[in-house]
Amino acid sequence: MRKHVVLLVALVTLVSLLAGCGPTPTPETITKVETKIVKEVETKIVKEVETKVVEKVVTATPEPTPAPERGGTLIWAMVDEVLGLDPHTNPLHRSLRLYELVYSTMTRLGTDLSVQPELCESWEIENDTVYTFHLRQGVKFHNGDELTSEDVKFSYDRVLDPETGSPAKSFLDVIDKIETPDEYTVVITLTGPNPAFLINIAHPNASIVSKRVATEGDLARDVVGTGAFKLGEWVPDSYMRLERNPDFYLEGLPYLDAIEWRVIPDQATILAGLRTGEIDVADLDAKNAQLARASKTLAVTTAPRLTYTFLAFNCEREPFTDPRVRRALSYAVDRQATIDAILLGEGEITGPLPPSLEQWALPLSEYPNYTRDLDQAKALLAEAGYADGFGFSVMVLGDEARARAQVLQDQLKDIGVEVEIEQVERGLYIDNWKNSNFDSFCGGNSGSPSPDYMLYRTFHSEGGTNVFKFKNDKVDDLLEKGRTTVDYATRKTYYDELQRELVQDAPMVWLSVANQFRVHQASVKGVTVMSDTSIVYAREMWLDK
Amino acid sequence: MSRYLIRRLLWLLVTLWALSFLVFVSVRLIPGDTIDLILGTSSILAEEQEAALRAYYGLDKPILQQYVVWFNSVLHGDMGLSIRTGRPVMSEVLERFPLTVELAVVTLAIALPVGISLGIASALKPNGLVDVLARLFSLAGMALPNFVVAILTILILSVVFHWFPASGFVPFSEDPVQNLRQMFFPAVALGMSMAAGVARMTRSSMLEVLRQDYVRTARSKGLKEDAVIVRHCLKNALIPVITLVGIRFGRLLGGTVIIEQIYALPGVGRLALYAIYQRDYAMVQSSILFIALCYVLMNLISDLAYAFVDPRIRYT
Repeated sequence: MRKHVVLLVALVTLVSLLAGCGPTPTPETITKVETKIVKEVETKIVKEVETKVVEKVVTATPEPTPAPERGGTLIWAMVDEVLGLDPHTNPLHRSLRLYELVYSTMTRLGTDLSVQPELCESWEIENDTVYTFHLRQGVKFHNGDELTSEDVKFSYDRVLDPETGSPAKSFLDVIDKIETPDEYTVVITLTGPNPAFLINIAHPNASIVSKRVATEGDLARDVVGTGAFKLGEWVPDSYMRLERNPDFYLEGLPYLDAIEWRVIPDQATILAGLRTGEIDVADLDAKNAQLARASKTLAVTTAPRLTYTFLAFNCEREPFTDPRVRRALSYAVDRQATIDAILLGEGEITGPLPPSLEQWALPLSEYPNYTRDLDQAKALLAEAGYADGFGFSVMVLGDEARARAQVLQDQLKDIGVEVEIEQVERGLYIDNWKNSNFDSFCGGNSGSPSPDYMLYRTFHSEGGTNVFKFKNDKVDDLLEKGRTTVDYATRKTYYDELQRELVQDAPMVWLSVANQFRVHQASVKGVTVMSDTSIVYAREMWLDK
Repeated sequence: MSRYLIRRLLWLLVTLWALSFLVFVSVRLIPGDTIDLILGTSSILAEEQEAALRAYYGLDKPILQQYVVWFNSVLHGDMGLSIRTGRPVMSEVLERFPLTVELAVVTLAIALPVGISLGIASALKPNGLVDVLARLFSLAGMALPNFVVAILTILILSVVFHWFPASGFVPFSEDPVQNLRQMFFPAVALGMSMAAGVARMTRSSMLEVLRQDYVRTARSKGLKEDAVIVRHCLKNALIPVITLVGIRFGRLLGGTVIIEQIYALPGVGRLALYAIYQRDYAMVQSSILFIALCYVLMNLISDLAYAFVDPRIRYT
C-alpha cells in the first residue's frame, strides 16, 4: 500500500506540474516593435465640418493600394453579435456594423473623419439651412430597384416618426421639411443652422432604406440595402455571411467575395483561431493584442478611438450635489495610472473632447484638476464639509469597467473616500442607468467627430442621455450656441469655454481614450481602423493569396 | 404499466405548465426589458417613442394578461417570434438541437467506455493501484465543475499535443471530419466529467454484485472469470448506472451553457442564456420549456428502462 501511495503522490505532482507549466503570457517583456504593420492610420486632423457656401464636393473614389486581388472569403471573429436587422431602431455598435456594410447613408466619414459624399454626389447649402443634395444615379438596391429621392424622404420620415422608436430621431429632429423636386434631388430644410447635420446623416441609424421593402415587407426581417455587401445567411449565435454586391455603385468594390462573421465570445479562443489561421481578422483588447504582436504571422493595426471612459456622478445625490466634492475627486484621480493598469499603456488621457479631435480639444494643460493634487482635493472636501471623507458606490458593467473602478477605488483611499463597487448584469445596469438609480457609474461613451454629438445629449440639462441630472445654465447656454453657430472661429470659442466649465464643474471625471486593435493575418490587406469604430471601409479589404 | 405511463405523462404536462408560468413571470420581473436591452445606454427615447415600441411588443399590458395571450397562442401552435431575428422561436431552438444531441451522444461515447471500464477494473482489484487512481479520478472529476475540466482539457491538449480547439459548428452531414474535430474538445471535457461519476457508480455497483451468492455459484460451476463478469455481473451492476446516465443525458440535452460559451458552440443552452440577457421573452420561454421537456422525458425513459432491465421492478 505504501508503494501505491508513493506512486500516487508522484503522479499527482506530475499532473500538477504539467498543468502549471503552460505558456505564460509575458506582456511586459514584449518589445513594441511592429514589424508587420500593414497600414497604420493616424486620425489626427478633423477638417471643417461646416461647408459654408456653394462649393461642389467632388465624389471621392477609393485609391487602391498596389494591385488588390479579387476574391476570397474573409473570416472575421466577433465577440458579440448583431441584435436586430432594422437599421433605424438598433443603436448599439454591434448592430451598426452590419448596417455599415449592407446599407448606405447620404454622406460618410472619410478616414480623416471629414465628411464625404456617399449616396449623393454633391450638395449645396443656402442660408445655412437649406441643403440640396444631388443623388448618384443608377444606385441599385439588392433587389434590383433603383434608389431615388423617394427612398431618401421615406427613410428620414420613418426615423422622425415617433412610432418607429428610432434613436436617430434626436439628431434628425432639426429637419423641418424634405422635398423631392425630381428623382435624383432631395431638398432638406432645417429649422435652424446646424453645422453637425452632414456628420449626423452619416450615422448608420440614418441609413437609406427601400420604401417599397419597408412598406410591403418588414425591415426587421428583410435586409435590402444598397451597401457593398448583401446579407447572405444568418445563423444566430453562430455566424453571419455577407456576400459581395456585384452592382455596388463604387466601381470595382468590394474586392472580397464574402465576409463571414463568426461569433466567438471568448477572446482567448479567437486568438487561438488567429494563430492557427482559421480566423483572418478580429478586434481584440490590449492584452490579447500584445500577445498577438508576439506571433510572427499576425499583424496588428491600431488607431486611437473616440470612445472615452469616465467616472460619472449622480448630481442629485449627496454629496455629489456639491461641485466642490466632484472637483475634489477630479483632483484625486491619477488618470495615467488607469491607462497603465487597464489599457497596458495603450491609450491617452482625455478631456471632455478626445485629443484626436485636434480642431476642438483643449490641451490638457488647460485643466488645473488634471494634475493629481491630493492637498487641493482634501482642502476642497473640507470646504464642502467632508473633511473626514465619505463613502459611495460605483456601478459597473463588465470586467474592464470593474477593473478600472478598482484602480480608482485604490486612488481615492488617499483622500479618505471609500468606494464600493457594484458589478451588475446588463439588464439591471441599463435599468438603473435609465432611472438614475446609482451614486456613480464607471463606463464609456461612444465618440464622434462632432463636438455637439459628444457633449449636447450628455451634458445639456434636457439632454437625451443626461442620466446624472447635471444642470449648469452656463453649460446649457454654451451648448446651444455651439450647436447653431456655423463659423468655426466663433464656435471654437464656445467649445473652449465649455470644456473648461465642464472640467471645472466635474459632472464626471474624464479618464481615457483607448486604442483599437485589429489583429489580422499578414495576408489581409487594406485594413483601415477608424476612430469612430466604423467598418464601412471593409469594402476595401482584400486577401493576398 | 400503461396506467403508470399515462399518469407520468399527465404529470409531465402539469410540470411543464407550472414551469411555463414561473419562467414567464420571473423573467418579466427582472429589471430591464426588451426595449432597454435593444437601446442600451446609447440613448433614451422620448416617452411617446418608448410607449409606441412597448405597445408594439405587447409589453404594456399587465403580466397575467400577457401570459394568457401567450398561452392562447401556444395552444394554437404559435410559440412566438424572436425579437432579435424575427423568426419563429421554435425553429431556432430546433435548429440548434442537432448540435446539442450530437454533443451529448459523443460525450456518452467517451464517458461510458472510460467510466465503465475504470469502474470494473477498480472493483475487480479493490485497493489496487488502478482502484486508487480511479477513485482519485472520480473524486476530482465529480468535485470539479465541468467548465474547469474544460479549461484544463484545453490546457493539457494544447500544451502537450499542440492541439487547439476548432471553433464554430459544421453539421455532420456536411463535413464529418471537421464536425468531429469540433466536437472533440467539448466532448472530452464533458465526457471526463461524466466518466468520473459513472466510474464511481459502476465500481460500487460491481462490488456489491460480486459479493452475491449467484456469482459464487457461477465461479464454482467452473466458469471462466471473464464469462462470470460479462454474463452474470455486468448486466445487474449496470442497472443503477443506467439511471444515472439517463439523468445526465437529459441534462446534456438541455445544453451545457458554459461549455458552449467556452467552445463557441451554438447550442440550446447558449440560446437560452443569450435570450435571457437580451430579454427576448418568447425565446426564453420556448428554450427553457424545451430544455425542461428533454430533461423530464429522459427521466421517464430511464425509469422505464430501469423497469425493463430489472425484472424485479413493476410499475402500477
